[in-house]
Amino acid sequence: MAVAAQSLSSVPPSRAATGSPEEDRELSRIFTAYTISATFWLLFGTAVGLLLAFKFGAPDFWAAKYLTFGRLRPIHTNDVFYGFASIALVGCAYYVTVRSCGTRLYSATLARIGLWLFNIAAVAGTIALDLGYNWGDLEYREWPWPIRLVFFAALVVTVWNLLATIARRASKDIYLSNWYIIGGFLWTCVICLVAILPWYQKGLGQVAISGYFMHNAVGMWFTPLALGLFYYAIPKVLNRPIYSYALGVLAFWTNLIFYPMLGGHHFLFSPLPWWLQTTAIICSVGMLVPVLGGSANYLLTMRGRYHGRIESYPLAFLFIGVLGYLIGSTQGTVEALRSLQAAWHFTSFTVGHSHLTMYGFVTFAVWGGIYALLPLATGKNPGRFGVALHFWLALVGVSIYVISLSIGGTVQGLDWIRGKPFIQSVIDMEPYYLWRGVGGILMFLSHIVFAWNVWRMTKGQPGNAPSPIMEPEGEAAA
Amino acid sequence: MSAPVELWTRPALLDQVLRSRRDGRVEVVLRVAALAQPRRVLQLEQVLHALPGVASIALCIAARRVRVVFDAERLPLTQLLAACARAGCVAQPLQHDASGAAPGIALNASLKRLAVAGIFAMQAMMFALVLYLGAVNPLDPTTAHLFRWLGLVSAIPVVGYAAWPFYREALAGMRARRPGIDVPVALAIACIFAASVANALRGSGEIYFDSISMFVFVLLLGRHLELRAQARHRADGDAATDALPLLAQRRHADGTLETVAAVELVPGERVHVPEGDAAPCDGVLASERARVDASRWSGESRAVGHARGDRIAAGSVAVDGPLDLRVERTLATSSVAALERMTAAAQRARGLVGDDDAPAARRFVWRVLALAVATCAFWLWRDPARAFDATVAVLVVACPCAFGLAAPAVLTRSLALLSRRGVLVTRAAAVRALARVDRALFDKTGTLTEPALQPDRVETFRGVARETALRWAVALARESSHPVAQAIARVPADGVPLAHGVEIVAGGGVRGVVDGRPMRLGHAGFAGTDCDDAALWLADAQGPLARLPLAERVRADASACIKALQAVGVACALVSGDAPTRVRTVAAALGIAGWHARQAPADKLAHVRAGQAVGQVVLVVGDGGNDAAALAAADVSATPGGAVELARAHADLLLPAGLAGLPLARALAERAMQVLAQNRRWSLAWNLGAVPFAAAGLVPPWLAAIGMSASSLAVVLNSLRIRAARAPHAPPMALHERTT
Amino acid sequence: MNALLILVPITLVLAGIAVGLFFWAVNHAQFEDLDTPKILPLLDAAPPRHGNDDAPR
Ligand code: HEM
Ligand code: HEM
Repeated sequence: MAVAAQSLSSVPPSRAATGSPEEDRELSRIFTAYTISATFWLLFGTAVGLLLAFKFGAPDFWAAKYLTFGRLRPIHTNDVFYGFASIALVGCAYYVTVRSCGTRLYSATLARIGLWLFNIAAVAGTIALDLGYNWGDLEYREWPWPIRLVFFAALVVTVWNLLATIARRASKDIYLSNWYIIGGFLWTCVICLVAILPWYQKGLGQVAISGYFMHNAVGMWFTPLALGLFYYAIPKVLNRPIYSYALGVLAFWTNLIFYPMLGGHHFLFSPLPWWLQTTAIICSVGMLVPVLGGSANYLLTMRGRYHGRIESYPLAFLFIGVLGYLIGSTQGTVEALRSLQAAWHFTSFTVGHSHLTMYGFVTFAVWGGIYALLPLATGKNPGRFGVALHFWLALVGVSIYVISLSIGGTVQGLDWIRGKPFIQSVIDMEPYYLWRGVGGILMFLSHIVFAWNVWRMTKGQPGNAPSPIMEPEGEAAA
Repeated sequence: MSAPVELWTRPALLDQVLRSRRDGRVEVVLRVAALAQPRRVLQLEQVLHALPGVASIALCIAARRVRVVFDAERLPLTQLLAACARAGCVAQPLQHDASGAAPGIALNASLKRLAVAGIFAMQAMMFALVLYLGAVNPLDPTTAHLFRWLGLVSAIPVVGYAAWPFYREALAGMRARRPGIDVPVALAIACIFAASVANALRGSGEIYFDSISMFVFVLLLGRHLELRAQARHRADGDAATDALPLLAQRRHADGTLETVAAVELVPGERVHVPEGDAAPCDGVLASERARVDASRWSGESRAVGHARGDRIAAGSVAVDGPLDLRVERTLATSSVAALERMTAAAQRARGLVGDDDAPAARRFVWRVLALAVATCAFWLWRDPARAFDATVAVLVVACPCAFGLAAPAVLTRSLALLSRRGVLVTRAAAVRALARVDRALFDKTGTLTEPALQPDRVETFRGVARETALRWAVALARESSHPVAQAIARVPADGVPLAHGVEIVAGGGVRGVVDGRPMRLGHAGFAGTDCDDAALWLADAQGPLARLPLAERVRADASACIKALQAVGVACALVSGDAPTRVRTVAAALGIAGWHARQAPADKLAHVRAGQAVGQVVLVVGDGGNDAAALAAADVSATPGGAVELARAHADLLLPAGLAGLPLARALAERAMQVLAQNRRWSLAWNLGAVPFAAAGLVPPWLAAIGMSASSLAVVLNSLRIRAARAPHAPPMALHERTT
Repeated sequence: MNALLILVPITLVLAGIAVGLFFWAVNHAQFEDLDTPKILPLLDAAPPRHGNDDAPR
């Protein structure tokens, strides 16, 4: 803070003076609490995921009523979505918003209430699903509606808190990250409401809404929050501003216009009208424009920092996150093309896409954000070895996972097209499921290491990793 | 630093800078040079917002301006200024302009309309897409009907709000009985929309909600890009002209100082410029010596020494101590005023070319309208069912939107590029002439040549090594801005010591202590030897140390400039008042075949006239001394050099960065005219080519709309293809923050 | 059709919200200066710590 504080000290309401030490500690406590919660849900949710992966090899293993595939699968997806990814992103969003607005948090109490609500929803949802209470096959909306209402309440509390914080920002301009965060929240609130409305929950309407909801959940919730985090964490870590702010602004507004129209491609080849599907496909291709713009912006910000060696692990996580976004979305677009859809729809290929995006993009972004920002908040660094171990285990694990399922999914789809007996496709998938299990084990191990790192960054003994903020390089350092 | 803040309590001054608003608040525009640094911007924002009584602030970074609206009762201007200064952003109030409209409002409005058009055009296209797909894969009628209605709903904001400027302009044009190109546009939008609504209500027939929305969007996009380029250009100009102080300190005969408004100064008066301040007027240095930073003019930020009698341009900043000036020109006639005129002229670029094009476009519009009526009449007679489509298609297709945009888009772009490359254009129309120039007349002395040292003929005395003597001479020469001194300063030499206690003696040379020895560098008399015209002398207390012979040398950039011009077919000639031998040598060195020596101003003028008489387009390059008449008569005139020359020369092109700017400007002008011609050809070809088909009823309105808006956009984008030869070397902003 | 009847109005409403947000942003001068805000994340930087040697390879 030295230079910033000095050069600003003559200015009465300077940014450096906005957060008193007590307020800084409060923010750090909140960030910590969210991160720890999220870590718990990551461990729990992916333990279930790993179990699921095993069940593909050994379907009879632990086949008791409460441990059947049908009950565990939604537990996995919902817990990693609403327990892990959401809570982690919201925690980061609090830090990013407060810091980039150069102000203090509007209400720490609201933030705590929000965290409680998120956790209550996740716990209740898990229990309900395992006991067999659900809303049927509505993907990612399996929780019974009262529980989803709790989640909705958490969203409202959080967005209120964030908006009030932004309202007291120190600069006229609202930094891009906050646009993404607020945009994501507002959109998601609308979507959640729509998803709860009762009167079209049956029949075809339900298929449409389900697709709409599902894609909006990933496209208008996780994606903007993760992108907002990128826009803060990447410049922060590199100690250099984003390559083009204007490009970021343009990408944000194009996203806002395009994305709502996109949900349709999730029910291709479902009984929905052909024209609606075609429309959605065209939009999917259009979606690639902001994706390319955004990724280029991040990668150009990192320019000159690719030395064939990793200078900073927080940056490495963020880098993989950006690649995950770029590759995952491109893959999604290709997947949406009708002829390819014919092969891949309903196969494990889609599961590969889900993990490439939700894991390779969102989860890596979350980790990058936490490694970049949590030490700044708490003043404690993790261990260097621990971070490296986490990175490599997770990266190798998810690569094995995604590659094996992409190949496997294609084989599976071709089998179906050729009209082979269904069981043949299952047999053909066997090695790929096995590899997925291997990748899954590595991923899960990395999560344990992550938990240890979080502990060192918060409550435990700090480790020896260097500060996440890199020394400026090249022209700036010269 | 600058004039004490307390001055800003004086009513007469406040009147100049504060503009009262209808809401009882006042508005002031401040120039804040520190806005170049993002960190400062943020600080300033915070500081201003924290002040009581500040209602709103608007920053324009490019123009380095801040517009503050505040409550003068609660916050005196002095406090506002003091707060800025505390934030590290010294602010200077600017004279408020008569118009007073905050810039950017037009731009904001256009941005909003653009966004609305964009978002809803998107929606309309989505819905239309469904209908188009329905042609392949039949829709049930209810769905089709629903989507027609949805298209209608999405088109309403576009037609009702985003397209508003077209109606407004069209109406204004009709009222003034000079219909502009917006008339057919507005008519077309109204007709197509009305017909589509009717068809949507009827439930049959074509609807064009998507194409009409897209049409509006693309037209708005073209205009927005154009508007932005203009705003940016104006901001750059503002930044250059704002640097002038509003106040001056007049020195009375008894030596006392009085603060007055700069406009009040009259030639002959003496003004005092405190250290760090800018000179309020053009003047002659009245104090013994001074160092000033004229980076505003030269673009090169370096302080140069001046001696009594040297000319100092308004806006030059006094460094290392205060100075006194004798006012040479009133503000209204100063170099600054010239620069202001220049930017104003450049800003009117639109008007200037518009003047050429406006009547053409107007005739065009009348013809389009007549043609539309004729088409309508014809089809009503032949086949009333097709009358509507054909009429609308004609309206749209024949609309000269692209034609109207062609010239302004090109000129805005090229003027902006040129000013970024160090070529200032004072008359936009000169760009056109420059592209056609086929004869160039150059003045010699000061334009193509400069004095130069002949290092190998340097003589030294008293056993001083030649290198040592040169080093000393360079050390002293660096301190002066006199062309001869600059010639010596340019000599490459290593380990040049620093001169101390430097003093510049008017009409003599430079005096100072180098390597612990007091020395003098100057003409023979100054250095204490006999008369010797052809050399400078370096001497110390004991007597001469070295003789530095001078010769006339061709400027480094001259040869390249001439070659480049000749290469593009411009016949270059040298017209000089100098003796034939010297002129011949220079002409030979530069490869100029035609040269004329011993030319009086009248002869030079005659050369220009002669060239023009045989149909040549003549460019005259001179410094405005004895060639003022020729410069004035030329089709295009250019002056190498900075501020002082500017006020004297009244040239169309100013080349503060040297002659290298000339070929560059020529290339750019040619490129610009090529693009302009392309734009025109393109838009005419489109109009003329498509009209017959439209009139024949062969072009459906949606196709017409798409084609027409695409052709306007093509024109704007085509103009953006004009590039300067090398990338502009904008200084990189210090953005990389170190936080240790 | 049921689904369309709800999805399409929602989309239109959302487009309206997007426009509203955009207008707010324009009115609050969010697009006037697209260079300065980019340094916002760097302003409150904590000093890089030098306690440890290089970053891990
Ligand atoms: C341009 C961007 C994208 C396109 C075009 C796209 C397209 C697709 C397509 C076609 C499917 C498969 C539907 C199926 O066959 O069942 C899909 C599924 C999925 N996508 Fe994307 N995607 C994109 C970006 C993303 C992003 C950024 C995320 C995550 C943040 C994501 C997360 C998912 C998930 C979780 C699924 C699985 C859905 C399910 O379980 O049915 N996608 N996407
Ligand atoms: C150890 C790590 C993980 C393992 C072993 C794992 C395993 C699995 C398995 C076996 C499935 C069921 C696939 C099927 O039905 O064919 C699944 C689905 C899913 N998992 Fe994971 N998972 C892991 C981590 C994650 C994480 C961290 C996320 C998100 C942040 C995630 C998001 C999903 C999603 C969205 C689906 C549904 C995919 C679809 O329907 O297309 N998983 N996972």
